Amino acid sequence: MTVSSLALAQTLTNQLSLQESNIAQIQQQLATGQVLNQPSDNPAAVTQVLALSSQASQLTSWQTNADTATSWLGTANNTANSALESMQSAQSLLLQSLNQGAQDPTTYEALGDQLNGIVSNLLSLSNTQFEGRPIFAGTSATTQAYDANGNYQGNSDVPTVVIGPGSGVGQTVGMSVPGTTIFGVGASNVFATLTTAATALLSGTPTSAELNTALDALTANISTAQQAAAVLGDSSQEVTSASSSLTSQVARIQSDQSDLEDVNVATAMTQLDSETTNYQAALWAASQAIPETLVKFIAP
Amino acid sequence: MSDMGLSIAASGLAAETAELDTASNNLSNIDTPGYAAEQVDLSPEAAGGPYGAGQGVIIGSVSQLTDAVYEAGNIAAEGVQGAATQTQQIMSSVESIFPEPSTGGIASQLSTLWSDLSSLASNANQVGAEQAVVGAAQSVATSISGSSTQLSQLASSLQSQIGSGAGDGGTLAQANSLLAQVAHLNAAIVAGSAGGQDVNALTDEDRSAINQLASLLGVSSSSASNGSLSVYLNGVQLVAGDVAQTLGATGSAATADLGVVTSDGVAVQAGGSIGANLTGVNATIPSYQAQLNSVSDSLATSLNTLQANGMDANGDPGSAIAGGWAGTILPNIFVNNGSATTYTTSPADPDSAATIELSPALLANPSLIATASAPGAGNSNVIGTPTLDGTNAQTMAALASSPTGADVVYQSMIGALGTQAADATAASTTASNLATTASNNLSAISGVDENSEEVDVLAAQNAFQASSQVVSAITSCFQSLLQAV
Repeated sequence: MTVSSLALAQTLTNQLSLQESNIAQIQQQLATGQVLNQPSDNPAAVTQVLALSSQASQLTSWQTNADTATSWLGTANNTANSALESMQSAQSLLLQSLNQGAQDPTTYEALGDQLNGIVSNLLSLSNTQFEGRPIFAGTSATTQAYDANGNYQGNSDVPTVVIGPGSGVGQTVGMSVPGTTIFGVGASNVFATLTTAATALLSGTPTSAELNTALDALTANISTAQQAAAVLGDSSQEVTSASSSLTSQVARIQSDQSDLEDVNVATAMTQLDSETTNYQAALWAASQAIPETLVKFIAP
Repeated sequence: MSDMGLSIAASGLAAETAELDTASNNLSNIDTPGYAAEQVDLSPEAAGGPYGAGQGVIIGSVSQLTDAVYEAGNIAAEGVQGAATQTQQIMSSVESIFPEPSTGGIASQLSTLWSDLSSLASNANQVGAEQAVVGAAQSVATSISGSSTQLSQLASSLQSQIGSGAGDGGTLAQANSLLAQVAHLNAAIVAGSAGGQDVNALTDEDRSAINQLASLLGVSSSSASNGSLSVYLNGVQLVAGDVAQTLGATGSAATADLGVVTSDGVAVQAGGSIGANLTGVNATIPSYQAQLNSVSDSLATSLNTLQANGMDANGDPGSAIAGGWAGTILPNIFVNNGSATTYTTSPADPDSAATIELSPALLANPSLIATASAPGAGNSNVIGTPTLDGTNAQTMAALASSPTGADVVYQSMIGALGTQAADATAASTTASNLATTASNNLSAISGVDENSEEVDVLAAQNAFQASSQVVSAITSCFQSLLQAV
């Protein structure tokens, strides 16, 4: 078969440009550090990478939510425990006044003052804020969970965050509890209980019936608060375990993603080396083949 | 035998001169596209002289080395390559509109929107969180409408690349001038061969024009006995003898019905690079516009529905739960620009992706996002009462993993785009290899090989010198004879 000079030149040009484009592709991969630079580089892998990035972003959001919940729950737990301690010290004050039998009015009045002090301490605990928001007011937009008279200003909804996959919006966890679940509802809340007891004591002549009623009511309040503290503890544990699972999932997805889209430098360098060698060989062949014709050997 | 063989030697000298001329012409045209190598057709003078010796050589004609089958194969391969190369360029332009995977792409902007909504859910009345959501939503809308506009611009640039067929520098005008050139050359070939002239150079030009036409339009050709070449495009004759059709464009990119008609009004199925542009304008780009519309529709519909069924942190209700509420009613999140308050999905609005934008009302007042759920069981929300409930924002953020959400629709669109672009690249490589093979096959027959021409030159030179020697010998014989007399 005759190979015309034009065909020989064209074939060499085509081969050289093919090798140049191979080298350019590897250079792009090495320069960007990514194997996937446009969708056509590997359509299946690109789709997978997009899905993984979207998952990773969602997991990161959940992680942020879990961090927020951890902060909220930490504050709520501490506050609930302090409130419990205050209620328990009120309880021992009441027991003390009952057990010691009839005393002179000034002793009762001193105890009453102490109880009032506990009430204002509890009120300030009930209005604890996190990032400017009262944590025991439910989802209400009020600035205070309880007013100065111990009346609840919030609502009964638990503020929640999503911390993982699940049905509906996902796995939700309460970041706090409504104030009523710690401090009691309406006229039987701890503020009313303690204020009533304090009033009786401040009168100087509390009856033992009055003190017993107050003590029973306070015991009920304490048991309510203990339940709420248990709920907060459960939520904390749920968040902690979800958070560590999220961390490992994010790490796994990032490694999957990196496997798909990051350049394996060693492989790419080897490929570049081999392509460059081929390219040099082709250039050498061209330099040898093209000038060789009969003309060279015909004496002028 | 009146001249003692001088006329025989002269015919040899003439034949070798023709050989040298032809070899010289071949070597001059060694790099000329479409040039078919020529050879001198020599035959011995039939009439024998006294004692049966021959009477020299006859120069028949200078003919071209061609092969009709390889010619046709080469033209077909040119057409396929023209189409494949152009398709690959179109696909890579489409691909460059969607730079994925990257941190600036629509996929990652959607992810940002969902995570900003998730943050807003736990910070329902924070101005910063609201502004982040509004900013993210605006970026997504801008990117979607920008990509859609870029697709339309690509379609109209492909249309203007084809042009109207008149002298506007478009490829169709180029094709028309080539068609006219073929017709003109046909006339010259017929006239030239009737007048006994050498028309090989004209035939070369004709063939080169048809090769270019093949790459532009995917034409085929056949040659008549008088040497003129006919040009066909999918069964429609574009050049018959010295008459050429003029092609014109019909329809437009905007209506996705761009086409090509002849001056006789016959619609033709163009191949080659013009055909690839038509496919791009009429099918490929509209299909990505439609997929982008689905992304846009899914995003806007899902978020607008949740917005309409929720309340913002001030207690302002969405339109679906407002009832007779006299106060502020929440605006849609996404709207079509121009309408400013509502979003119409495709196909009712075929430009839904191109026109998606963030509602101006929401942009002006980012707090109007429905973070809270509608009043109902499981919550204490009341229309008109401020609330820090973030459950509706949680539902919005959960759209990130919705199986019919914008993310999934967009991902499958990118997958389809990547596959089509990769296929186009592979097809272009294959077509280019086939074209090289076809052209090598043809050139094995009709190409100029430098070495064989050199050999011809040397042989002709030797033969010329030999014939000259004969002339010199006869002359010397004549002189001896004359001196003897």
